[in-house]
Amino acid sequence: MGGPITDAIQIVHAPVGCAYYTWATRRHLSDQYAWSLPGKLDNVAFNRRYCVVTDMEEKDVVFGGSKKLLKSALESIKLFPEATGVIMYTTCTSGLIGDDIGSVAKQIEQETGKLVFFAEAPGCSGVSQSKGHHVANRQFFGQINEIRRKQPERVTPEEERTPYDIILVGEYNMDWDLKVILPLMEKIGVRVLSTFTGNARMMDLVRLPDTKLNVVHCQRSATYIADMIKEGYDIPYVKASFFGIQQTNKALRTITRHFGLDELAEKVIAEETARIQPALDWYRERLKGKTVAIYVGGPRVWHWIKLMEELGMKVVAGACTFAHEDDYEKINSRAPDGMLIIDNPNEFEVEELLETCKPDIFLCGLKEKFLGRKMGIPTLNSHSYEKGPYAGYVGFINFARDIYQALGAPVWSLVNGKEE
Amino acid sequence: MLKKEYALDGFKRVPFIDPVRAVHGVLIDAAAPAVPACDQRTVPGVMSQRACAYYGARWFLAPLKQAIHLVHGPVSCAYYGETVRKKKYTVFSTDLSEKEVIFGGEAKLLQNLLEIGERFPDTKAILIYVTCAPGFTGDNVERACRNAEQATGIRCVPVNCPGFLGYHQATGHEIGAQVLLDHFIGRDDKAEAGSYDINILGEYDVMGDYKVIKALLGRMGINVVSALTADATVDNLARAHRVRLNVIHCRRTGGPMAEKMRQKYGIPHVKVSFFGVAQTSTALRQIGARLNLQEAAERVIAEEEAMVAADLERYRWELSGKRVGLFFGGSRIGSMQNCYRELGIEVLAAGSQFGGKDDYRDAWSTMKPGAALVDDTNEEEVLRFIRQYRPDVIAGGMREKWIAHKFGIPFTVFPQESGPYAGYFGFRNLARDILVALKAPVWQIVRGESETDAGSTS
Amino acid sequence: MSSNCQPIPIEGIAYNQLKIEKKPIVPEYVPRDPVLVPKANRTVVVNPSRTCMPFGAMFAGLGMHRGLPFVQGAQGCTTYVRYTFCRIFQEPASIANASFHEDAAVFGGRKNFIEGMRNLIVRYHPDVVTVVTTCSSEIIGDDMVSFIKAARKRLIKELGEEEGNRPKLVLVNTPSFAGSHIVGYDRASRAFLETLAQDHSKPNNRINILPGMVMPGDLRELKHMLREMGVDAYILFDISDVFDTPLMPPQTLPYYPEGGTRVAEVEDMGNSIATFALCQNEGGLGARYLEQKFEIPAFIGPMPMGVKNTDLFLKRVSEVTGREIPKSLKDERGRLLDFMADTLHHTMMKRVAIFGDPDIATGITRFACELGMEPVAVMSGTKTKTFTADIEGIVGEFGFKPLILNGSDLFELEESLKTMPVDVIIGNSKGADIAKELQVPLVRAGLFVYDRVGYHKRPVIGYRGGERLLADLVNAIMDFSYPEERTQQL
Repeated sequence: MGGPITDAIQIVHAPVGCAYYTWATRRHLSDQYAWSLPGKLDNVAFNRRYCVVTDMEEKDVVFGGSKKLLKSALESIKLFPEATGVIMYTTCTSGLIGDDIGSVAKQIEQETGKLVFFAEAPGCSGVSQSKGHHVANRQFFGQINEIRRKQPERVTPEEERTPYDIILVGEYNMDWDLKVILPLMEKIGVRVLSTFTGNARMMDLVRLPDTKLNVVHCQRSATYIADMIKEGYDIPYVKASFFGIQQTNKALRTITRHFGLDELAEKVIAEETARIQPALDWYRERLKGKTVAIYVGGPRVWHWIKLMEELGMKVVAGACTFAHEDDYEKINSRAPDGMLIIDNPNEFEVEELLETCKPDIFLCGLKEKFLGRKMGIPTLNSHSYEKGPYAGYVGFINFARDIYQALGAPVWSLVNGKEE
Repeated sequence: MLKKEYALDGFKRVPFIDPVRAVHGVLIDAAAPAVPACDQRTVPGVMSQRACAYYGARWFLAPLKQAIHLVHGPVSCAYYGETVRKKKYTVFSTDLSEKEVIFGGEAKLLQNLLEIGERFPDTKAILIYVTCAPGFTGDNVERACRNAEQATGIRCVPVNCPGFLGYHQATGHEIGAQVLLDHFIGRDDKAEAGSYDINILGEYDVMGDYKVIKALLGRMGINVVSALTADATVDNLARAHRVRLNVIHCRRTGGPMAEKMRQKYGIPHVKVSFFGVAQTSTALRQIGARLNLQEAAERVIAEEEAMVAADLERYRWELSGKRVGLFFGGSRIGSMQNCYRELGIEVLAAGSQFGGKDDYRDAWSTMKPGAALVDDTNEEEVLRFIRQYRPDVIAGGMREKWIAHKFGIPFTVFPQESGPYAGYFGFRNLARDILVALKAPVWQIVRGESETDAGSTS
Repeated sequence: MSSNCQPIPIEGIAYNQLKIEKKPIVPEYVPRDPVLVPKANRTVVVNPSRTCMPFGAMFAGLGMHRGLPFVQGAQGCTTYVRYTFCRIFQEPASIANASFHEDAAVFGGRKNFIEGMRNLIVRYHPDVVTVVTTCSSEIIGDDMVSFIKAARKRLIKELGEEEGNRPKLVLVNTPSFAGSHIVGYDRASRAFLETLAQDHSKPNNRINILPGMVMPGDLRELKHMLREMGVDAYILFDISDVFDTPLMPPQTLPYYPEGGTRVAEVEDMGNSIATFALCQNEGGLGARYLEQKFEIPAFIGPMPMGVKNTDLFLKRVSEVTGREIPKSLKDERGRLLDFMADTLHHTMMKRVAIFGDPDIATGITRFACELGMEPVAVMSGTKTKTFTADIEGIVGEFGFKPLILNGSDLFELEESLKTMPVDVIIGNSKGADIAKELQVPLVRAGLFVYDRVGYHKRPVIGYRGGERLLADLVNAIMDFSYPEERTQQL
């Protein structure tokens, strides 16, 4: 959740492994680069370039790791003075031994004057990663409030605000989805102040409550903070999805309705749909009637059902790792008859699901991707994308293309057992 | 097969030479000066390293700019002719097929020339290489050229180099040189010679050799009008007859040409070598003397020698006492030996594919008694040489490299691959490459094996 | 779906069409504080080159036939590792988890373990379960030995004596704060032998091989060498047909790959005539255990990479088993030597930086030296007692003096290389950024190679592995350093 923030040193307070796995693996991209040499920028954006970890060892576990965290943070600020601030994460180890990360944060703030955020999200708390999202939401919000109270100069001045300001909440800029979404927003006449947290600066976090409207994209991981901002600052939010044509249409209409800009939305929708129609028709013709199983993190199952319908495909099964009850209600209302729905299936159940439903394609995450293939079923990493972006109108064509490529690969007709 | 060996009057037989070719090798003996028989037909079936006249013509003419090179023959000759001295050039081909071989390829050639004229109107000349097939069928290439020239206004010059001409590629060099003399050099009547204008003949800019030479001469105030054919263009060749001096680098390709230019235009020539410190200094002195630039020459020599002295001392220390076999194309055999000797390396044998009498005489005079001098060394002889002499390193062309490796002998390749060898810093490159080849740990591992048994460690 | 010749009207939008503008985070270049660059001068780790201890144990556990690791910890401890295996091998990796939530943190993981173990075994019928502990379970003090006993009781009660006793449970203690993935694998090798190899009564005239965390291609090469020699060997842990398996549906449910070391094989390892641990830090513990317990001679390291190390390995195998090194292997050696001779102008005097896990870094260093390359910096991500001395020993033979970083991070390596130019870097995919920054080629080698397809399928060990690595190396150098005008040929 904090990962996409571009100008922070992200310190993982843990043994090395926990940090190693998060380093440069997800594709939340950013456009802020540090300098590699005078006059030459780094090749990788700052948020994915460095992996900073306190490397807790046995003695830290025994005697407490707060001191090590403080020392590490101060050293990193010295090493990377270009960073605006620090975001610290605790993990099982530091959480269980009870390191007081809050007081360390205060101390860093006092000594360096840098912005400091932290998320206490040890792996063992909550039933899934969703808990981590929630925790980070709540804690970030608390810290935002505190900073705004103590340092009012960091709040957006009145003259910099416009009546058409929005913030995209829960948009993590996977494979540069933002590059597709932002131009759309511009065309419908609203100004995107910032995102939470795709390609966001730390100051954007502080200025979260300075918007006129929050547009919640990932509704599982970020509705919390939208709710809190609504309560604390009386700023409304709308839910919107930018996946698929209909949903994007709806999203544009929802946002413009709020600002009374409906005409602009209709114009954009007409333009964009006309632009992609030939490509859409092409893919639709080839994907029509195919069956699909979906297994992704949270609410995407719900999103994807609509998309598959738009491509003429039929969803025969869906499963989520960390969806909550309300997600399933939404899925149910959208699900076609006979669709199988499972919560947090284990690998065995995934195998059974594939065996019984025999979908033509399986949209899933990285872990299941290779399992599905072993069973001769084409798979697509719809979680962190194959060749994104997938959002918006052109992004949807990317998605359709990747599905078509997965399905249409000649290898599947060579795999024995599938031969007719 | 010849039943009896050649009589070995006046010279001792080279131990590794094939008996039927005995006259092609001499052992150096100060009391009995002799050069091996050379410029003769190749004994068939002996795996000679020689190539054909077309190869030689490409070798010589490939770098010529402002001209399109059209290979008249089946497409494969063009395919091989694309790469010359490991550098890739654009070549065109008439792609002769069976039909044209039977009914004649002249029409197709003319068609090709007209097409080129249409699509590349800016080109200043077209060279037409006549390969074996049209050479046999007797296409009237001259007539096609005349017709094309009239139609397009572009000079079309036949290079009559079918592979079966002569005994080796040097024939092609001569043909190429004659083409330049007849059709390119001296076309610009208005050109005037500056006081320090020269040509360099027989220099091909392998890995930047010419750039090094040009820079050295430039510092003496000398202007190179044309280097044949390293930077030859149709334009600078047209002015190449107005120079004070022709400097010959490769004698085999540049020598005859220089002589003809002396007869025709009265240009004096001097043969030099830019390989090795001593030879480069001598070359600069000789050129300086001819152009009255003695002081400039001495200044450049002093500066450059000082800069490389320490490095060369180190290389000499590492390399002295090593023993080498040298197998080159033509006239390098003499000058390159001096380089190796300058590094303290003993030359055990030297051979060339197509050297002439002058080249061998040159080499003979630099070699130590007992060393072998061989013409047209073939693969088997190289192997026997390795067996009998166990040299530390061999220098030669790509074809011998891999087989020498099989016998555990390090190898340095000419034309070189890593950087210029000419001039002072180039010589350092040469020394480095020899050292690199010699010192590679793989040879120790290989030797460890031959001492004990495969798979054991030492 | 039939192939289609019609052009696709619109391709969507490709990443390079997005026109991402790079924005500097600060206007001016900020030099890194030179005092804080060496790892020895700072506490914080930036860009580590090692990962957590359970990773090694899970790697080992997956190398067993019908073997499943069971991770006593939070879900992330499994998910991250599975992601990593998926990325490296493009294969499924089945790992179970005790799903620790807050209650486990407070009351301990006993309930989760017994419940989880039961569910796992009932559903999957594994032959062996590797019980992998984590930071959390070690900190809250889970008594795994008694948990396992209790779980066994529960299994017997539910499944009966025979079926309840059938799956072996092997405990590996892997608190990540006490070491890296190297240590995890090392401990697993010992744990498996301690738990399963009890018998020393029936000599089997075989050898044991503990290969360490190598790739499927390496194991296939190893098996090839042993087959050529006619030597029978047990390989622990044999991931070759686990992480490189055919696509041949229909599959049986649950999905198990065909490969992996069998339990019976490990049980017989106490009867072998010798143990070879190819990596001293990954499997050395196991080899030493068998030596102490049954006096089975242990040959520990070096990894058979390059000529001399492979020579040494084959020679030892030959001495132990009495089998001669066949001509076919000598020919392979000769082919590698020929290849080295033929490419020496591309490798000699090239300056190289090497990083990775300690054993492969040591192996590569020797091979690089054999190629006439000059190691400029050699780094092991995991600190070991012998790494510095090992590297010094190798480079000393060839007269080089590289910067040796024992247990440092990639940040220090990168900043060091900014002051010491190199021609090529050999290491895993985590070095891609460094290579891009320094504009030198990165030749992939090591465990974490996830940005090149097919890396894991081909070996780096043995003579043929040497050929492969050398080819990669020379091709990479040629792609970077040839003058444009020249035809690329050898």
